[in-house]
Amino acid sequence: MKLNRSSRMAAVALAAGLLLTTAACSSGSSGSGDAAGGTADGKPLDPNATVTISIDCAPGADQAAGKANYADDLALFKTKYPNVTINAKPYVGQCEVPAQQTAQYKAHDETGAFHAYFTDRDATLNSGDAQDITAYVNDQTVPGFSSMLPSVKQNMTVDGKVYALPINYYSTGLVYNRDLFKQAGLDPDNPPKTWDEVQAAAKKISALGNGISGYEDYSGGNTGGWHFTSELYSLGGKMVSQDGKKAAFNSAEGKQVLKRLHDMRFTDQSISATPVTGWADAFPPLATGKVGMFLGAPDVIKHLIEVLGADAKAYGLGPMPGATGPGNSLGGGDLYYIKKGQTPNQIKAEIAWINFQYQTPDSGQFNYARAKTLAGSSKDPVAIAVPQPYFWSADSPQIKAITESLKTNGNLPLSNYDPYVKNPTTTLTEPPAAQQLYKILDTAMSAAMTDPNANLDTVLATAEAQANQILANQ
Amino acid sequence: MTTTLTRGPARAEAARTGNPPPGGAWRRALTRNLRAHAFLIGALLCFALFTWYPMVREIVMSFQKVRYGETHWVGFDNFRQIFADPEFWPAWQHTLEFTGIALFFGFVAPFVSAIVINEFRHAQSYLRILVYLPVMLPPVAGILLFKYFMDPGYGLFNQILEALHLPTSSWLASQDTAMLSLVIVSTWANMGSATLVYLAALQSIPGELYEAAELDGAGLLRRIWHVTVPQTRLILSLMLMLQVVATMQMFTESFVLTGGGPQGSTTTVVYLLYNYAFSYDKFNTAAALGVVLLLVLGAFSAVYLWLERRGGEE
Repeated sequence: MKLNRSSRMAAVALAAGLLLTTAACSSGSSGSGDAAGGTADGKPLDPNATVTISIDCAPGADQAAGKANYADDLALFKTKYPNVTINAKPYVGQCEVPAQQTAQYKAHDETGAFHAYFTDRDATLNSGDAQDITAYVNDQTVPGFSSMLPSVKQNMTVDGKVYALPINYYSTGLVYNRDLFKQAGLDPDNPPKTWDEVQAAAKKISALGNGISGYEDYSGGNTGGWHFTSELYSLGGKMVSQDGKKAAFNSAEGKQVLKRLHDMRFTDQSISATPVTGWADAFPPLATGKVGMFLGAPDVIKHLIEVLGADAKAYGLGPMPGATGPGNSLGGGDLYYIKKGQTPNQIKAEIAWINFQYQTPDSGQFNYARAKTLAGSSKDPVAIAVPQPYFWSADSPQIKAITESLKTNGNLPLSNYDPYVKNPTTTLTEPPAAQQLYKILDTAMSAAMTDPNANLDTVLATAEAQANQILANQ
Repeated sequence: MTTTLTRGPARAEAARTGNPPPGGAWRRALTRNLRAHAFLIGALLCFALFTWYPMVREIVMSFQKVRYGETHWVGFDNFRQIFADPEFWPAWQHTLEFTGIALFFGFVAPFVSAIVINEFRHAQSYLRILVYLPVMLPPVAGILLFKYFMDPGYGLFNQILEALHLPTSSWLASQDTAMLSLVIVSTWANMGSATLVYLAALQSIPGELYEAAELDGAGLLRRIWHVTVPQTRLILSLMLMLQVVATMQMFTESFVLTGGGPQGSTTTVVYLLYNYAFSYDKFNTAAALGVVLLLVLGAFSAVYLWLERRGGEE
């Protein structure tokens, strides 16, 4: 059939439309490497194997120092495994935005090794994309594997099967501003260890005036419930029953958490009227010396210094306050999962990279000697020496080596964190359906800090009913 | 219209020869209108792929549940779950509350501002730009600006109120005022577009009608009521419907400014849907809520169309 000019144009338009549609339909992810083979024999990757792997959360354009470190690490890894090619996917802002990650899970669009927080374990496993790597991990492939903390192992293991490897682990404490402590006549080397002391110190700090609040806490964006959990644990309370089927936070401890916050906000006026509803909202007033105390992990101090340019010497870290002394603290952290459907050699290569980059003293994220050199020449602040529990037991060779390296290469006043380091507390893990329970308890935290007439018993009972429904539908 | 024009001669030709050309009427119509069909097919494919397919998929998903990567059919379980959720009815209540207040402000304010701008002969173009400026601002940036204005501690609004010796407000920090505060932000952000639409409608009203009304002794309010409102009735009813649909899907303001709080007082239906999908990782439950919202908005639209048709027939 011969077409006239206009018909030919129409045919071209039709073909183009179909092509575009087809292109849109076929946007599935491409495989992350060649068919490198290998077997799941529990041995490290053969350095001669040719493999291509992909990984997310590489430092992006907004992290000059991290980006340079990462590039250096890729080059160093290449000397060890010359035939491994790593496609690293960079990020800007927050490495993992939970909502984006949920969408990624639905699209099965993860990299070969992909990042997730402890709280996302159920979501990750429900996606069906996580590979059982039990056959690949042991003390030979991951040195120090057997000395990892039980509370960390609990987050990377389900029914005895290992699905992930940790890259970060923290426990919460009391971040405080030493300058404000001095101004308020408090001892900056001896921060509060009980909640009564926190309340009393907050009153003195807020009495300084000038828009300064003694204490701040979260009330939205899932962070309200997250801090509620932390405070509940510190008083000896529980989030869920032993079998995980019922909420257990509607207790004397739960009420105590809310009542104290309500009193601090409306009686003492030591919590400001501005609600802190998002994770990042808390930091600008902290960085500018407008807040005396805040619950947080050591990485909060790192963030204040490196991202917000706060005075590195102004902050101290105390233990998690409790009822009569330091209380239990909430632990959390990050992991890398391995995606299903890859060859054994790809899995081995990914484990080798995670181990090299995140789990080896004096290498990757623990290469403090290099960080010190970089900090010396960098225009941007680099914070080295904020201690964390990482993920090994305190007597492991890994922790000993890292602690020594911090002492030699750190650029922050380590003694500011002595109250935290010298008062180690029991670290508890996050509850089941953590993000959902946190969301529900945002409302309770919000009531305590925004409503002078809130009936906290009712608020907690409502949250309990909602939580029971969530737990029943797990 | 195209079909009528092309079919006529084709039928006449077939009747003249007695033997229709090979290929049948469908093929003839297709080849004769190839260009139109090509564009039509492209548009239909786009609609099918990006609108209808997700809609059908959502309906299918609302009857399923995914656990450890496996999909199971669960009947009406997801629907039962959302109806039993203590957040479900409050979310509808908050949505209707927002829709009600937003309609009052968002419907009246642009119409009044359009009438006022229409009265200015010389500065009209400047006023149009001024009123449209907030629309050009990225929504989240504009909304965040209000977060600072409405801060109960150091916000601009409270400072102004204090300067005028008026009582200050907790704005977004209190469940009594949070929803109203969101309406203020939403009205500010969206007023420009609606004003321009009303302005266009006002300018299409023949001047003679106003002159005749003036000769009959009608004052400003009577002219508005007896000339402006009837002449812009179609646009007004269309905008009303669009605003109902848009305000019932309010999400950004609540997400950015209040996180659904304080005490869940600004958690709307779409915000709850977002929570199901992205905070609770329950996509299927979110899909079920989406289906319920779709049905409610569909019912609204059907009522609107019915009223429109009835109005037209009268």
